[in-house]
Amino acid sequence: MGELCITYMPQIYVDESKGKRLFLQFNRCGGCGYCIEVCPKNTLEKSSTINERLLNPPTVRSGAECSLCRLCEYICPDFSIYVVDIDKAKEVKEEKKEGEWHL
Amino acid sequence: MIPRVAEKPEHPLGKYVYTGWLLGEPRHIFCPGCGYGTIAQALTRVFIDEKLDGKKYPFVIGIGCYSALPAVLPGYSVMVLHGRVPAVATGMKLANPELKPIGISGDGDLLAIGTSHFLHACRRNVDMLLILLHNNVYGMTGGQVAPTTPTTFRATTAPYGYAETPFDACELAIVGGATYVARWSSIQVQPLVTSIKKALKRKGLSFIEIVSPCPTYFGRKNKMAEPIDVFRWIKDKSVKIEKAKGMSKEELAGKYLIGEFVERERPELSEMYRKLITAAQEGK
Amino acid sequence: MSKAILTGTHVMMGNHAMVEGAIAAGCRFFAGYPITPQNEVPERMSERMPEAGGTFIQMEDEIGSIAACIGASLVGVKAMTSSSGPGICLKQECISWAASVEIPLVIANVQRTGPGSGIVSLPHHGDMMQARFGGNGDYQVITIVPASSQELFDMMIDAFNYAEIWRVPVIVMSDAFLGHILEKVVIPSADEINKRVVQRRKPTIEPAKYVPFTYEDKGQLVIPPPPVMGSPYFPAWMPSVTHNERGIPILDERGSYKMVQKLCDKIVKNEDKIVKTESYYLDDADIVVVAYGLPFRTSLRAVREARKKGIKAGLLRLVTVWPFPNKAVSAAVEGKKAVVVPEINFGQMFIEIERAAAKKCVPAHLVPQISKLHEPKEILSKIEEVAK
Repeated sequence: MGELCITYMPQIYVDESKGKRLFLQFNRCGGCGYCIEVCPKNTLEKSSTINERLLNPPTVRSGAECSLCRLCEYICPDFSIYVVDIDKAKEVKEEKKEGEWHL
Repeated sequence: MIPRVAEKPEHPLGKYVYTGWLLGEPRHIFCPGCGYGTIAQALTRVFIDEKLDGKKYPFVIGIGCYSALPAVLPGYSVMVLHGRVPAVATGMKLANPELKPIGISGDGDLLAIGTSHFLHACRRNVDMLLILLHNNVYGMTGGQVAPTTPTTFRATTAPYGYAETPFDACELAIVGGATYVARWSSIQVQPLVTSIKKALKRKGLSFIEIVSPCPTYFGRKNKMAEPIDVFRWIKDKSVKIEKAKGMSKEELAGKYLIGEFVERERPELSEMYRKLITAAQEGK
Repeated sequence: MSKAILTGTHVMMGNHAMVEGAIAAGCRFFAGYPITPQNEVPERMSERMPEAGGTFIQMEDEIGSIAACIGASLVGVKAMTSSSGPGICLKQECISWAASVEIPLVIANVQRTGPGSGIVSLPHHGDMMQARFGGNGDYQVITIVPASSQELFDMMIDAFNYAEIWRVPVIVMSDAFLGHILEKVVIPSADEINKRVVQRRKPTIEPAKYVPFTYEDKGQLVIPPPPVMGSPYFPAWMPSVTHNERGIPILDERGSYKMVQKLCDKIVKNEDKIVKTESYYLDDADIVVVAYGLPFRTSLRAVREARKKGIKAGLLRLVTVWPFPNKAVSAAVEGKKAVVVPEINFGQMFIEIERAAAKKCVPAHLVPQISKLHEPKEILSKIEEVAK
């Protein structure tokens, strides 16, 4: 299981040359391990820290490279691991869209 | 609802789904490892990539675990009774031919109680997309056998193993007369997204079956308790159609054929009906 | 639209008059299934709906028919289905669903002898209690009972109006004889009919402020226009489970009490606006006959014969049987000597009428008959018997 992690970094990988970062919503992750399975570069592994759901999210292997191909983003059932452009990552403040349900 | 602060920035598709708009983060109540979250993400991706108007593509959702799918879906959804998804979608399409309903049904919903409505919707070629979420059990009610559970597998109403042989839903759709029939699995998302985009562009009844893992019941009762075990089981049982042509019948026993089976053209119901109305109004 | 309304004087059977009434009321979707004695309804609908610009479909079973009608009603089209006793039994789950999600719908029940498959071509008003209590859960519907072909035409317009105003499933009761009697039906001009027809209301406030289901505002229940799929006036997720007025599922005891209370109060508290009765010779009557449907016509003859014989008999006709006209029946039976209830069944509305009469300490007597209409002399002899 491992120790309960209280502080965590949402960003788990950054590639300045491509201008993208890999993010993980640590406490929303369902610990299913599908992202680890589909990764073509074997970048991820199950971490030993547990989240609020008492499950083990993934973590980047030490020294591993991520090609930011987004296969993990597509497979994740919990919308928890995803790639974001670096400039988008800076927009921390997003106001809640009031009014009608769009789309 | 439990308030929870999610870290920013959020998932790029987060703000397009219902809970993303209501609560600020996309949240659903499915078990960890359930394939339905992946399928919801695939449908959301189709809506965003193709810039679809949610008003023209209403979701008609049956009764099952996926009844909670609208929490992570874009657009508008209506929950109907168990098994009546194709019938309600037929009524919607005929009354307003500009809509293209997307019906989402499960194993029991479409192949047990709703088999009749399913076959007749295929026969009539109503212009809609019908999605079958195939996880081999009745999830919401506790993992009972479904018409798609493979023989000898266990479930809560088959403790000694299932004695019956399952349906092949794609075969039923082809025989019924559906004009686009495909089977994908939630473990390979790219072909699924392409297929859904194709199905939404064409006219006629498109039927897409999606094989998806249920670790909580199907996996746990059949010695695959971890989500990753069911994932690998599905991957092992999936065979592409082109590859299956060269395999023998024994090799194909118990496998899921993945790919597009049929793509054909037939007159579509609401178009035929409009022609009839014009002829009737011009005088017999 | 000139082909939609056949203005003029016709000789029509009840089933055909029902079809003409529905089309005149604005019904543009019909889904049905063949079952005797209402086969003329889908047959004529298949002919007239395309002329009126609507849709007809014969679905694969009864449940598919009502499910398709609900789908059509959800996209804003007035929809109707029809069946007989065994078919209405099959539709009950969908009627309960339509009541909980407040979808306007009209269901015609051309009753035949039961129970079981019974006799297909003989009347039996055996579905009166089923109309009120058939589906699961607590809800209220409106049930209308016409008694002639002309009334079948006029009351279909009333039925569609009720469905639009109160957002409930409305059940129109006919029977095997009434569906086939050939009678004179006068259809007025389109202008006159359009004055009576209530069109589907369209929401006028902005979509963000639209509340899809009945809600309470300063102690009054407000029934908003129904949501339309395909327009922005639709909740993002319309559930079939217990929900609040915004459409969000509330799965606890307080939420379900509130929802059931709203669905029932919506109709019961507005009894005055919904209930219709007719009274004949009631002012100085000693014996009251309470009847509905075809037995009403027989009872009117019996009451007139009784008056000629010197018995002070009066007649209260129930046009809407659900919600039950408690006030009208209580007022009619108060101070009277006895109540006579002729019914073509073994006593279904009799249960309610006897209860209302017992509150005023008036005894009630049933004159049952099955598979045939009463003869006036049967009712007359009962009136004479209780008059002594």
